[in-house]
Amino acid sequence: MAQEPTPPLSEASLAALASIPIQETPSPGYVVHLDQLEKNCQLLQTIAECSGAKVLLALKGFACFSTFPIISKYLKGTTSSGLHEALLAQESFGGEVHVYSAAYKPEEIQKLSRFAHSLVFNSAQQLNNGLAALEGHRRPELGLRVNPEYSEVETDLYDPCAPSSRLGTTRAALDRALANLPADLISQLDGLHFHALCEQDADALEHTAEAFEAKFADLIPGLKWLNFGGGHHITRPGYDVERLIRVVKRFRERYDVEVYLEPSEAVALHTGILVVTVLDLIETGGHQIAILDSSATCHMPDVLEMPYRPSILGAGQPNAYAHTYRLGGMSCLAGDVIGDYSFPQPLEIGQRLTFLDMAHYTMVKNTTFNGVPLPAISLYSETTGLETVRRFGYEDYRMRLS
Amino acid sequence: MDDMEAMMVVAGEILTVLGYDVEYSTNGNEAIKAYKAAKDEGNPFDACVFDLTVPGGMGGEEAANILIDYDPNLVAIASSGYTSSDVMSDYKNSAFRAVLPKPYRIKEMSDILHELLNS
Ligand SMILES: Cc1ncc(COP(=O)(O)O)c(C=O)c1O
Repeated sequence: MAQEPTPPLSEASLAALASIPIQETPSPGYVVHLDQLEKNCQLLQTIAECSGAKVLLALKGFACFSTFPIISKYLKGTTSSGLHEALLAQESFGGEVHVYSAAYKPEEIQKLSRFAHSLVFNSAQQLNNGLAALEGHRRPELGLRVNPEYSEVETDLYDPCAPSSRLGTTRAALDRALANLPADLISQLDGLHFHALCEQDADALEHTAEAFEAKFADLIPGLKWLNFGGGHHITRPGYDVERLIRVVKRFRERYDVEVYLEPSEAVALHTGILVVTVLDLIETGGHQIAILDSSATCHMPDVLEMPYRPSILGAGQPNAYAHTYRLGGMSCLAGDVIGDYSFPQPLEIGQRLTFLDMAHYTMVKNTTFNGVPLPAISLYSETTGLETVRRFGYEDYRMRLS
Repeated sequence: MDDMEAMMVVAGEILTVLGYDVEYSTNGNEAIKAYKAAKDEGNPFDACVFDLTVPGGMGGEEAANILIDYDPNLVAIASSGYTSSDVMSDYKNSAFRAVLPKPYRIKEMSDILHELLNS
């Protein structure tokens, strides 16, 4: 169970993020705490060691490539959602490059075939088309994403197994499609993939894996691997690592296959902050409002999509402290509101605030809507201090238009 | 000792599989207390594995320095990642008898404990 977009930070993680010198970073600016990131990777690698799982970084949630030299020491490789992420993976991460896409174009498959470790297809038809595109090319390992039709995800937007989901093939759809496709199609597969979790604990994995097994067990013998997707909230305090290890081991032993896990969020959970500055304070409709040099829709879109209320260092729920403010962004979107927060002291114009846990699903989803400047990216570690590795400007806005 | 609870649990799993009884702590203060209590009860720890960095709390280096004054026979093992602390490259000048790079690997953990506890 447990789908929590903002699991509480451990005391040590909070202390680590609070130690980042926020007055020295550009604002708005993300800062990734490398020591925190390394700790997450160490846990993931230790789980890999104990369970025999191979752990990949899913780039969709965290692609801050200046941190890849650290992550790649611990994880086996990456998983990408298409050609561009895969190119970044190949260029900056190394290791095994896995790819899953809801649909590939033939020319993308041909480019990917040069270096991909595996290509996972969303349907039997896509697999068949992929095989045709691969003729005369190097052949990566091939997988099929299936839909176990079981999910404990509570938010529809993030539920890949919701009724009529387009992600993954149900058993019925697979059997229907196979009736009209070459008889040996399934024997071309090296692996099966499911992704059905979102910010969940190992109990949800166990139940999903059982549902997967009930529907697809007959296809497993002879396969090289199973990929249990992402959504494992492994690095959240309290996650049941022993159960995860047990589930992975059981599948590896029962079916004699490799098991892949491809988390994104768990790699970067509690590793980063977004530093922002209060630009104005206004009062309207009985609310004190602070306008920030940031934006929910541009810099933390999950706040509006999920939706959730990100935590701020030193702030509480509305009215928990004496001074409550509604924090709003710079864009014209009326709903560009991050949430209501209270502070022990009144906010001041020019004051900086720290949004916690802003490393994953932020910089990869940013937009320059309204020309709002993109946050800079900095890295911090206790031993090497703060380094700003990327600043964005007008050119980055202009470059995407013509 | 490891401030990351899940890491501590997995390390404990490894030690249990290797046949050791395990006690856990998430910071230096807790570790010192547990060490002293075990010794007072006549059931002292054979070895301690210390995570070096504990943000906002007492890390492994300080804890091992305190414990070695209390018990010069302390068998302390430092564990950390690639980037942090001089101890990992220069443990001979510290309270540690050995270093165990993270992530924890079963074979390394087994070899180091075997070597330290049987010598
Ligand atoms: C196929 C697939 N793999 C992995 C992930 C990573 O998920 P998470 O960041 O929740 O671990 C996702 C996320 O949407 C996904 O769709």
